[in-house]
Amino acid sequence: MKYVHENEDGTIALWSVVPTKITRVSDGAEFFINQTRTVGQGPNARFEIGGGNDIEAFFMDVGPAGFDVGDLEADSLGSNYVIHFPTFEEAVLDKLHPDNKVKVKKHKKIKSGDLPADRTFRGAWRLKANGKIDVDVGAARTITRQHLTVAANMAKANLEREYTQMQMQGGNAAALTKLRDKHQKWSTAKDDPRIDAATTVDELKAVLDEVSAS
Amino acid sequence: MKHADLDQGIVNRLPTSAGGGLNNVVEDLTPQLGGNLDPNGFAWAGHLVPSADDTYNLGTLSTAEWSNLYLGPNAVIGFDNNDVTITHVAGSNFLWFGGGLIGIYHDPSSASTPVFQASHNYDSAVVKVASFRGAGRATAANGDEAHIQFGLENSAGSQVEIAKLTWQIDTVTAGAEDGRMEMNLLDNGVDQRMYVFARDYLYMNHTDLYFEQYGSTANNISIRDRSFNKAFELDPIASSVNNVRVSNAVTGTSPTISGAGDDANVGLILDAKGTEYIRFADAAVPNTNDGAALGTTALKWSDLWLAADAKIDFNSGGIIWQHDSANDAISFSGGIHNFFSIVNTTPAIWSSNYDDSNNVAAALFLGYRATPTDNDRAYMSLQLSDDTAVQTEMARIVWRMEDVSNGTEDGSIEFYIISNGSLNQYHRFGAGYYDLDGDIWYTTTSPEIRDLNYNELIDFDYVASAVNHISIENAVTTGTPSIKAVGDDTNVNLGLAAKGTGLLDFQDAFKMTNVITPAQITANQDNYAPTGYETASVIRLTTNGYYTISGLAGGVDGKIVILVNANSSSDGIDLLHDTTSTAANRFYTPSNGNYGHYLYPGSAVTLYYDGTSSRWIVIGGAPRSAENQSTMETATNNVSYVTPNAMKWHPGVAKCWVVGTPNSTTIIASYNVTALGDTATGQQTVTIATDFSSANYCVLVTVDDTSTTLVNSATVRGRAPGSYIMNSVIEAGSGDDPSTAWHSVAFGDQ
Repeated sequence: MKYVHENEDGTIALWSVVPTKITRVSDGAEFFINQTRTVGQGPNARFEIGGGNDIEAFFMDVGPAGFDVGDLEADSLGSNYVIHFPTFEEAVLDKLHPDNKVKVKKHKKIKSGDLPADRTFRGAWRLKANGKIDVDVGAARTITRQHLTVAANMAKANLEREYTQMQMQGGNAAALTKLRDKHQKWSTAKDDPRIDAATTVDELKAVLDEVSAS
Repeated sequence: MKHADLDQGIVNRLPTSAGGGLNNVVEDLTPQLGGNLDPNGFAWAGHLVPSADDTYNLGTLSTAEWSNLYLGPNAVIGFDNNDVTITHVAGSNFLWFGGGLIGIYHDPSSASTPVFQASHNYDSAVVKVASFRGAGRATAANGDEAHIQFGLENSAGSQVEIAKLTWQIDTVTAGAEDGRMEMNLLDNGVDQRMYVFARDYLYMNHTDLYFEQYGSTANNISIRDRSFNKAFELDPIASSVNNVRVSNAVTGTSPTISGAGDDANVGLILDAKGTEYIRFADAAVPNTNDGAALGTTALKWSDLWLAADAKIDFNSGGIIWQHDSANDAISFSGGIHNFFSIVNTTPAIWSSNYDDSNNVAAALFLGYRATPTDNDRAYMSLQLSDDTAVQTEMARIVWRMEDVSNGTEDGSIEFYIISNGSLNQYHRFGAGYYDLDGDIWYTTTSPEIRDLNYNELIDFDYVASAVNHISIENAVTTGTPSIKAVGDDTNVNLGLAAKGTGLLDFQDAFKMTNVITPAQITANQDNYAPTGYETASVIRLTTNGYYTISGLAGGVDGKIVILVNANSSSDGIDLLHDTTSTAANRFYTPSNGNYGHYLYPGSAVTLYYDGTSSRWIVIGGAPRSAENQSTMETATNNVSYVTPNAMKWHPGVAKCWVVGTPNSTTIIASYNVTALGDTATGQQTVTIATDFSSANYCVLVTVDDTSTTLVNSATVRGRAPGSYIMNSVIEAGSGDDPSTAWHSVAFGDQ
């Protein structure tokens, strides 16, 4: 089961909920789920859920490695089993720290397909009035600048280390100038006017890609 | 014949014209003719007459006899003016003696016997015929008689008639004549007759027919048939006094051949010749009903040979023994009565025909039923009879038709015994079973039941003065047959023992069914003794809470009892080694007697009573598990075992952990995690399935990242009993999801 909840600041949280138990239809036996695991290596790795009761224990293969347990539905194991899930309140809301719990404005059940494919601007995802999850461009601009800032900081640190090393080695002026130019460029990267001008996520992503490629 | 020459005599021959013949023979007073009286070829014509009546002879006695005399048809020789004539009857070829009685004169001095001799011989039939006829009856009629009289004549010519042979016409009808002949004899001057009738009979008008044999009495006397073959033979016995009597009979009765004679009792012997037999052409029956026997106690018949399907019938069908040729059997109709023995031998019915090929001798007893149907029965009644022939039935053998279907018949045989005067006990043999309504009483010390190869199958041993024994009980559908100990004693054990070092081998699952469910336990129990505990093999315990049992009554050396916690709730029961129970009722538990043996709901424990230690020994099992959360959390118990579920309560064990995919909600692996939240960039939130008892627990967070240059900080915050938040940053204000995975684990009290 997968949920999204919206915080009071408009940000959202995504949840994958582990089933609480499985009922075997043939005899009504209930098996409590207390763990998940990924077994095997490479393409043969499988994702399993495990648990049992006082009589029987099991690990049940539910999908390949990387399978999101939140994608399980009540009938995902066929007609022989029924999967039981906790409610959002049971699994999430009542578990949260009270400081965070109060921030939760609303929630809804979602599926993986409801999420944007590109998670570059995950922090800018918002729960729209129509119930869909979409990227808020304004928040995305902020995220873009955060990404550029982090990247600039890392790049400038490297350039500064390289400049110092070159200067100590008596490097030529042109090379040093070139390093200074790159440093300057990174320093102003987050101020790229295209960021404010961008009206789509793709335009922002193009800025990030360009900078990353440089 | 003497020949004479007529020419030498003096004869005046008459001329032929004068009629021929001789005339005037005068010279020789005793003329003699030689040769034929046909001199010179001239026949004699005219009568030849003597010259004086009754004076001259033709020929002389002895010396001058004529040779032959040829007379013509119907010629007559007349005597004394024909008072006696002998006339030839032409065409009939006989001579007619006219003039009455023929006298046959015989010179007493002659030794020869005068005879009548037939002159005609039918050579082919070897028959010579002499015919006697009566005459002088103008028209023969029935009853006409003719006689030949036999008499004697004395020298004075006086005749005495002593016999007469008479023939008489019974029927004169031409072509269908009947005649009879009578032989008349004088007896004391009275005419006695013996009649010989033409067709049917010989009639004797007197008593005896006496055959006197001269010279020898060795020859038998025969009555012969017309072919002179012996038809009847009398065998005279010298000085015999007894004889055979043949009696005829009136209408409706039978003639009799009987023994007769001077003796008071005379038998009658019928004796065939040689190896031949006395044969009866008709049924042989006694002269009077139930008046004669075949044989006597002294004179017994040897064999009795009867034909196919022959029968011996007693009292007009009251009892019939009949041969059944179709089945080569004897049918005893009406039963066998007074089947008794003679001379101290045992009477028996036995088969004389032994089938060598099948090694079988069979004796068949067959009941009759026109159309046999199922449950038809036939029986053989076994009785005793006293001197007055009062019979008492003692037993009965009954054979019953179980299934009359042709080719698939089933039958059974039953043995009924009279018991207390009633025919109500039986032993029954059927196809595959032996039905015994009563006891089998072996009089041997160690009787056995053996298999088809006569190998021992069951061996019965006996104990003198035994009062206890075994009962074998069958069962209805789905029921369980059983072997039980029974007898006079109130309580009887049932022993099962293998031989030598052999063991009891239960070849199927072992089942104990003497199960009791005592009243619910509502308090701790000492010397627990629920109703039925003495014989119960399984005691199902129920409680309304957790209680202890410190001892169980009824311990007997070797006894095994299973205690079951039948609670449907979670209430357990502890078997404690506690001094509050009598020593002999206490338990020794697997925990060396120091701790109780805990019975979980739905669990059971086996108790073995050790008579040596006088304790119930808890078999198998394990100490109580440390399922109690507090036991695990205190982590001091060193005798309880840890169950997988209880493992989580130990303070040294992680209460939850999770590996998650960054920037997603995908759980790679987890334990006791309810949900994984992607709650922000560089942040995941874990909710815990079984919450900690408070937020005061330890969380370790790290990240799996491919970067070897970035300084990454993985931290936890926002701990609540049911969740915690993991943060990952690479610099202040810069949340950053790890490249590979989130890791977190939490320890603490739940």
